[in-house]
Parts: sequence; C-alpha cells; structure tokens
Amino acid sequence: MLEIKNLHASVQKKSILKGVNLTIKPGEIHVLMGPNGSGKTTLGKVLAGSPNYIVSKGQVLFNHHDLLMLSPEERARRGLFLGFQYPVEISGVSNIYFLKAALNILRAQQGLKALDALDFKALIQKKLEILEMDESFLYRSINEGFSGGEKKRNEILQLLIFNPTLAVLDETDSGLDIDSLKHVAEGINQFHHKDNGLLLITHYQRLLNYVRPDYVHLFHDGKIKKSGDYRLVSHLEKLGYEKALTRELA
Amino acid sequence: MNFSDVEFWKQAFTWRSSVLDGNEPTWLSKIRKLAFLNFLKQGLPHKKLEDWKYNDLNKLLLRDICLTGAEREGALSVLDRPNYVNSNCLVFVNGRYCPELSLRNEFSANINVYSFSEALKIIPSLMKFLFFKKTYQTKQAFTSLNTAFAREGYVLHISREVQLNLPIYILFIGDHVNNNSLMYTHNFILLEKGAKATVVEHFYDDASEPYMHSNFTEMYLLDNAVLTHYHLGDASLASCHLADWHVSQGKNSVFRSFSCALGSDFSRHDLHVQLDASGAQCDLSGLYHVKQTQELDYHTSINHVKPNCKSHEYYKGILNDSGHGIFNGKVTVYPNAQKSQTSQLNKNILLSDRAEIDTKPELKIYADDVKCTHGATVGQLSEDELFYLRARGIGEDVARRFLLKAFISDIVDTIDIAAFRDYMLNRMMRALEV
Amino acid sequence: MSNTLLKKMTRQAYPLGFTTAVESDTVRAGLDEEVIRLISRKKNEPSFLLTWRLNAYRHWQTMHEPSWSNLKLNPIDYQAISYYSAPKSKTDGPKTLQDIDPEILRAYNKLGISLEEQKHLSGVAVDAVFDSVSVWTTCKEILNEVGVIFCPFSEAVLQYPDLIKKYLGSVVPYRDNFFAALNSAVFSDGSFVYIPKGVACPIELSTYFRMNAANTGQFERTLIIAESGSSVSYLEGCSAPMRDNHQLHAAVVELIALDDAEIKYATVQNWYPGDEKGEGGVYNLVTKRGICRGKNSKISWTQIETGSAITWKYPSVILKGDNSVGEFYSVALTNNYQQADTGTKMIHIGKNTKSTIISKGISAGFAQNSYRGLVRVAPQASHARNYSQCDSLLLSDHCGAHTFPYIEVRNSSAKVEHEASTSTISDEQMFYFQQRGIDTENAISMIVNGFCKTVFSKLPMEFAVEAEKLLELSLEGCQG
Repeated sequence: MLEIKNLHASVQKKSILKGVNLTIKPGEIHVLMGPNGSGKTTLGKVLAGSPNYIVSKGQVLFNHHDLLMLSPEERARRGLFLGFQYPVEISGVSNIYFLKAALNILRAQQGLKALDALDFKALIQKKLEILEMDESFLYRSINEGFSGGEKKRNEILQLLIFNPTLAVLDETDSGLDIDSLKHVAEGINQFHHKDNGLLLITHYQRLLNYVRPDYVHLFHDGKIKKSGDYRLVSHLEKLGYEKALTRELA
Repeated sequence: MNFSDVEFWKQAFTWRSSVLDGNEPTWLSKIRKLAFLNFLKQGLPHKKLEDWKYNDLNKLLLRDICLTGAEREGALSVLDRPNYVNSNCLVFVNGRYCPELSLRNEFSANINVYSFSEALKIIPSLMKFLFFKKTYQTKQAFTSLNTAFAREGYVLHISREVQLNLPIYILFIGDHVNNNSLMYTHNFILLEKGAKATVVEHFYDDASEPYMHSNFTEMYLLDNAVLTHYHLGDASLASCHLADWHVSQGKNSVFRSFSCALGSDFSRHDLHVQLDASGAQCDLSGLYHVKQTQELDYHTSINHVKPNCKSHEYYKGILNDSGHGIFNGKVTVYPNAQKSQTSQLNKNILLSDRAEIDTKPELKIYADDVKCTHGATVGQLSEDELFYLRARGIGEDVARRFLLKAFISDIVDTIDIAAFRDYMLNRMMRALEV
Repeated sequence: MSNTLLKKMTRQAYPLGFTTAVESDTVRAGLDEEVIRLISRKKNEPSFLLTWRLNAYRHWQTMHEPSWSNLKLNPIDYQAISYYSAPKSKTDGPKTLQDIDPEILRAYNKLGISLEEQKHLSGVAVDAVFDSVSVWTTCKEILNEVGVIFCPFSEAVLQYPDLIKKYLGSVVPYRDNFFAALNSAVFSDGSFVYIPKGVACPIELSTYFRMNAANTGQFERTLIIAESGSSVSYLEGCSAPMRDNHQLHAAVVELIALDDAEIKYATVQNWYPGDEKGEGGVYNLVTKRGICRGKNSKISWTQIETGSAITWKYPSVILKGDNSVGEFYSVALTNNYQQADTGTKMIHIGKNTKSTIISKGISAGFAQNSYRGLVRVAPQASHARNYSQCDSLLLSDHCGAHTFPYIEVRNSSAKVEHEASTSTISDEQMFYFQQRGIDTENAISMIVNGFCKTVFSKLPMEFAVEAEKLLELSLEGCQG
C-alpha cells in the first residue's frame, strides 16, 4: 500500500532525508527506530505533506497513487493518518466538534451519510471506553491544557474514529506512564487488521511488548541502515544505537 | 508672562541666543534654532492632543516663569550625596555641572564620562554626530524646547565590547532654587557594539518655591549592547518634572529601564523605545505614588520595527488623596515585524475617593505572526488580607503599608543595585507614611 | 500565517447585493432647511419635532466630522446624498400585505425574512424598513394583547407624541456628535418599542433594514423604552445592494431601562462591504447608547459586524441606576479593505454597577480592525466593577489589529480589569487540521467560530446559527 523510493527531503536547505526506501503491505506493522535527530519525525511529516519540508528527490506511492502530489488534507482523506509526536493546542474549538467535522468529511469522501450528533456520540462512546477516557474530555478545546498522556490518547482516539488505511504513529508511546501505555497499545491493537498498515516510530522496546511488529528498521542519518524482524529490537536495546550502527558499518 | 504664552518663549530664545551664540559651536546654535522653529510649528500642548488629554495643563502652563533663575548657586545644604552612591558620580546643581561635588574615577580611554559642556570641548565631533540624529524634529514641544535651551547634562560613551560593571550615578539636585526658575539638562548615552553599562538618574531638591526641570536623555545601544537605566524622581512637591527618554536599539541589544516617581506636583515621563533591529529586547518597569494634588504621567511607546524583538512592560501605581495618575502604554508592531513578542501590564491601587487614575494600554499591530498581550487593573487593597493582619494584632496603618509594600515588591525585587534599591524603597515607604 | 496560505485573495460575491426595482419617491439630493421641512411634512409631523430637527441641523452645521478614529475615510459630500427615499404605495400606508409592492415582499423573501404572518420566524416580530420608511410590521396582535408597542418610528410620532417628546434625544442628544446631529436633522423612520410596566415581551422583536435606492443615505432612529420591571429582546439586521459608490448609513439608537427592566439588543450587521479592491461599500457611522436609568436595570449589547466598508460605532451604556448592569459582546470581522473602529463606553455612575466587555476582532486581507473602549468610574460610583477582554485574531500579514482601551477611575472602591491578546493561526495548527482531512478554509472557519463562541452564545438561538454562517461567508476566499 505504501512504497517509498529513494526519498530525499530538506528543511530550510538542510538535507534530512537522504534516500529512504520502504515498502509497507496491507496487514503489516513496521517499526522505525533510531537515535534523536536521525530524521524519523521528518519522514512522518513528509508523508503527511507538511509544507515545512521540501522533497528534492524520490517517489512515494500510496495505494498506487503519487502521494507527493496531494495536499495534506487530500492525503488524510485517502486514508493516511499521522499521529503527531507533539499534537498542537487549538483553543476555542472543542474536541467533539472537531472530531465530528473531520469524520463527516471522511465519510462524505467514502460516499457515506454524515453522522448526526446521536450516532456520533454512540460511536465515540465505545472508543472512549477502550481508551478509558472520560467523556468530559470531548468538550475541552483540542489538546488545550491536556497532559502529555492525554494528548497521546487523544491521537489514538482519532486513529480509532477515522480508521485510516495507513497510520504513522510518531512516538505515540513516549511520555506515558504504564497504564496510559497499555491503553495506547490496546487502541493500536484494536485498530490493526489484515487490511491496514502501521508504521510505528519509537525509541523504546516497551510498546513492542504489547504490539508485535513484522519488520523493524534502524534509521540513521536520513535513511534505513538495517532492517530485520522482531529480534532486531532486543539487539538494539542491548547494544544501543551507536554500537549497533558501528557494527553495521564495520 | 507664563508658559502658555508663545511670546514668552520667543523672548527667552532671543535672550538665550544673545548669551550663548559665539560661546558654543555654530552647528549647535543652528540645531537649537531648528529645534525652536520646530517648537513654534508644534505649539504648546493642549487638551485636544491625544497625548495630553488627561493632563492638567494649568499646572504646567499657567505658571509665571523667570528665566534667569536657574543661574544662581546657593549655599550647599542638600548636597550630601545619598548613601547608596559610592563611585562614579556626576552632580548637577540647579541644572549646572558641579565638578567639586562629583566623584570621578579614572576610566580607561574606552570609557568617556563627561558633562555636556566638557564633551563639547573634548569630543566635539561625537557631540555633533549625536545632535544631528534628528531629535530636533520631534513632535513633542517640550523635547524641542529642551534641545533649544539645554546647556548641561551628561554624556556617556563606551567603546566596543567594554563592560562597565559599576553603575554611573547622576544626581540632579535643586538647591535653594529660585522661585519659578526653569532648568534644562540634555544627556546622551552611546554604547557601542557589545558594550555594557548601568546608569542611575536621581532627582531631588530642597525647594519650597515652584520651579521646573526638563531632562532629556537620548540613548543609543548598538548591536549586543546592554544598558540598564534607573530613574528616581524624588523632587519636592513644589517642582515640575519633565523626563524624556529616547532609546534606539541595535541587533540583539538589551535595554532595561526602571523608573520610580514619588515627587513633583506635576511630573510627566515620556519613554520612547525604538526596536530598530532584529533580536532587540526591552524591559520597562516602574513604580509611582501620588498624594495631595500631585499629577503624574507615564507615557511609554515601543516600536517593534524589525522582526524577532521582545518587549515587556510592567508598571504599578498607588494613588492617594487627590492625586491623579496617568498611564499610557503604546506598542506598535510594524508590518513585517514578524515573531514580535510583547506584553504590557499596568496595575493600580486607589486609596482615596478623590484620587483618579486614567490608564490606556494601547496596541497597534500591523503584522500577523505576533504574540501580544496587555492588561490593566484598578483596585484596592484586599479587605480580607487587611482584616487577617489586623486580627493578628497589627495596627491598621501598619497593615496597610505592609500590604502596599507587598504590592510593589515584585518590581522592587528586579532592581539589581542593592543599595539603590533599599534607598528607593525607603523613600517610597516614607512617602506612603505621610 | 505564512504567505503560501494567502496567495489568492478572492471573495465570493456578496449574496445580498441584489437591487429591487420599485418606484421610489426620492427627494432631490442635497441638504438644507427646505429638505428637512419637506421630510417632516411628508410624515405629517407635529411642530415640536420639526423644531427639534431644525435645531439639530443648525447645530450640525457648526460641527466637523470626527478625526480621532483609526479610519481612512473618503470625504463625504453631504450635498450629493438624497436624504429621503420611499417606495411609492397606492394608499397612504399599507393596510394589508396586498398593499405592499410585491417586489419589496420578494426582496425580503430573498433575504430570508417573510412578512407573511404564518411564515414568520416563530416567536419573532419583524419591522421591515426599506430605505427611508418602514414597510410592514408583523405580529401586531400578539403584542397588542400585552400592551407592547412595536411600530415604525413615524407612526409612533403621530400616535404617541408624548412618549417621543419625553424620550427622543434623552440618551443621545443631537449635540452629541457630528453623525448623531445629522441623523437628528434628517432621520426618516426606524422602530419604536415601548414595553409597559412589568411586562416581559413574549416574543423577540426584530427590525430588518434594507438600503435599496442608489445615492441615498439611510438615517433611521430606534427608540426602546422598557418601563419598570419589564424586559425585551430586540434584534436588528441590515443589508444593502452592491453599488460602486459609498452609501452612508448614520443611525441613532436610544435605549432606556427603568427600575428592574432589562433590554437585550443584538445586531447582525451585514451591509455591503465593498469589493475585494475596496471599491464601494457602506459607511456605517452609528451612535448607539442605552441608559440604565432605574435601579437593578440591565442593558446588553451584542453585535456581529461583518459588513460595511467602514464601521464606526460604540454601543454604550450609562449605568446610572444603582446595581445596574451593562454588557457589550462584539464580534467584528473585517476582510479585504474593510475598516472597523468599534467598541463601547461603560459609564459607571450609580453604586454597585457592573459592566462586562467581551470583544473579538478578526482581520483578514488588508483590513484594519480597532477596538476602542472607555470604562469610566465616576467619583460617586462606589463598588463599581468592570471586566474587559479584547482579543484579536490576525489572518494575514497585511492586516492590522489595534486596541485602544481607555480606563478612567475616580472611585477607590472600583475594580476594573482589562485584558487583551493578539494571536494568529500557526502553521502547525493548520497542518494538524489538514492532516485530519480538514482543508484550510474549513479549519479557519472552525477556529474563528471557536474564537467567537462566547459572543455567539449571547445571541438569541435563531440568530446564533445565522451569525456563524455569516462569518463563514465573510471569510470565504480569505485563504488561497
């Protein structure tokens, strides 16, 4: 469903992605690990179409369409979801209003009828229970005054509601306590099925105790340096990025 | 004849020219003439001008004036330096420089501290350069008059990367001031790239007869310069005090200003900061107290001309008896001055039903990527807090002062020079007592 | 916000900009005593009113246009304007809807306002003002039952001359300002509301102003009197055709609340704002003021200002009665080359008076938006309270947002608080919306609506929705 070929991208003339190649097929869970500043977040942002980055080379196909030609909202409407590492706060706009508006735009795209307030409430109620989130949460402004954990749970809530075909989750597991982590992992597992794909960007093994990836990639200096299966994770945890990388290069 | 009479000013200027022309450089006489013409064009301020809307101009203008008054030097009585002054001090008595009372350290060649008249002799080209910076074109009538008339003041010039760690104290003292006399001082501070200095301007007198002192300080901070400027206005209630500060800031320069106004029957403070280059920062704060029939005015204006500048303003006032306070803070963000950050706060406590405060925090914003806030409050001491203290056995007056001290403490705490801070606080508390 | 989001600055056509072909009785352009006598004669006015008008006119001639606002105004040629234009009708005044020119009915239907009784918005009585005259007032029976008077101003002059004599100019005297003096001299019609003692008006009252004829000014006058213990909620809407030149609208509104009375006055102002180059549009120069004359009375202004090339208006409250309350809730949106200089005055005179000011300004395009407000606490106004909050949202880097709050306090027991902030929509916020499939235009309208929520919540239900739609419409095209 996603094919990234030799992707190069820069921000303010500084080159960050230097030839990324990655293919994700339906049903697969991929994990991207790597040191800070290696370009993992940039990859997520570039896939979602952030205007801050310039793609200088390469191609990205999403369900056989040229993804890079599309506006950010068009990418989202075609089923690409980015869980932000730092979700922004937007005051004045209530969470529930925002979720409903975005969902109904997606449904219109799929030729479905818009949900009314009651149906929407019913849908969201179930998702809230999975994540053990309080209903009051819906009536607060988007992310405003949310704790780090609440912001991340809000991202997962959106994942479950919008139900995209490919989700890129950028450090959705960082800054969470054990309970929150379990809820986030539970959400991710609920979301995942044989027809959708997941790209998890993370630093730690701990999320992977709950979510079992098919592929693990070591990301460094703007590209994937090493790929493997689940076992690569423990290898990395044991050695640390630096050692793993020097070994790799040697 | 009085202030509101333009004829008076014309005569005064003619008299001035007859005394001074020929004794000072011709370029300076020319500047003075231009400034005076500019004054004639502007005319004296009146109520219809937005900037003078709240002022009781009768206090200022309908005053008989005797122009030669400031010349006299009387017996010295208030001339002991305040205890906080321990070094680097220039003393001006009745508007004239007194080298014998001043304390002047030997500075290296990188640091120039002069009186205005000395500077004209020693560094004339720099003075010419400073005077040609167009201040004579100002719209403020009193600034023009200052440029036209001032013969004294201080000049501080610090070379590149030189950091002056000890403060420079400037004392403006009124000693046996003649009735209705008029004094002018005109000062320059020039900090070259990376230079650093602290200046304290302190005004006080022993006057019982009305007089007016107009002080003008022009400050230039080149790139990365850091200037801290303190002002204490503590002249007697007989006086009129006009303080005018113009600041122009280079790249990444930092300007800090603290002003405390306690004295004078009429005082007006105009502080104008021009953030002319990116990364410049200014931090303005002040405390004021009025009682009896005092009128006090702070007019600040900050222009964010270039992107990435920051400004912060915090003024607090206490108004008692029939005192009248005016605060006007104007912040303008120019087009393209993106990423500007500005905050402004003015808090007031009214202690009497006859007191009045007029506050107007203004924002004019022509760029979109900015963070701007301002606020103003008017209130009184909390009855609950007062009661709490009294219930613990503290007398009402003491409790009141205790709470007022708490009210001003956050600004007081920002003053770096401990001795000056204690002195200022002591004066403030004494003013609150009476 | 970055320029990339703002490449295109187009605006969809002003949807209310149609003209209506009706035969009009229009007085020649120009202003002199003769024109004033003519207007007064056409309305069969009593002599006291003519005298008042002439006094106002004579005083106006000694005055100058105010110059203190933050507005750039083209000079107005007061002799090029016609001061009276009325659709011709066969009879003296329409007795039934059939007597009204069907073109006018069609015009109001197009604006979404039905004058037919069975179709009118449920619970709302409408007075429809077309150019200089009121053409029809609905729901008269319901109102008659409780003794509420709601009628065209010119009718009130004839039927209730004592009330008019007593209250006209009592809040906004003709000497008040240049435009109020002009209005006092030439006003043609408007609405009159009288709520008797102890009556809570059972339905919303509403006036819809429509400026149609070319080169005319609209100078209506509204007077609302709420007797002791009464209450009323009133809404005013306005629109005008698109015309190349500037049309002048200089209205005066006076509100009087006696003991324990409450008046809520809401405005949805959508006069033609001019095109995207700043050509044409209405000059909306309005004086609105209420007085809380009685104790425990309350006056609340809510305004949604999206139209007009220039808006100059400061709905104010004089808090004279003890314990009286004044409120001002405002949303002013300016796009393209629109200019707004708006705000309020809260004059605290009585004891324990309270006022609240919430102002939300939104600027896009090349527009300039100023909040100008005065909070004054008089020496005798003990325990006065004011809270003001003025927020600005900037949507382009060519527009401006300005705040001029004047606070004058002369009583030591007063508590006055003012807060203001200015912000923009960040690129990160915009990207977040886009990543969830919401395009920039929708995202902006969601943020703007959120920004204005506290003010919308003060509008009567029926109109809150209207207001949101209006904002969306006015913002359309402000993003590329």
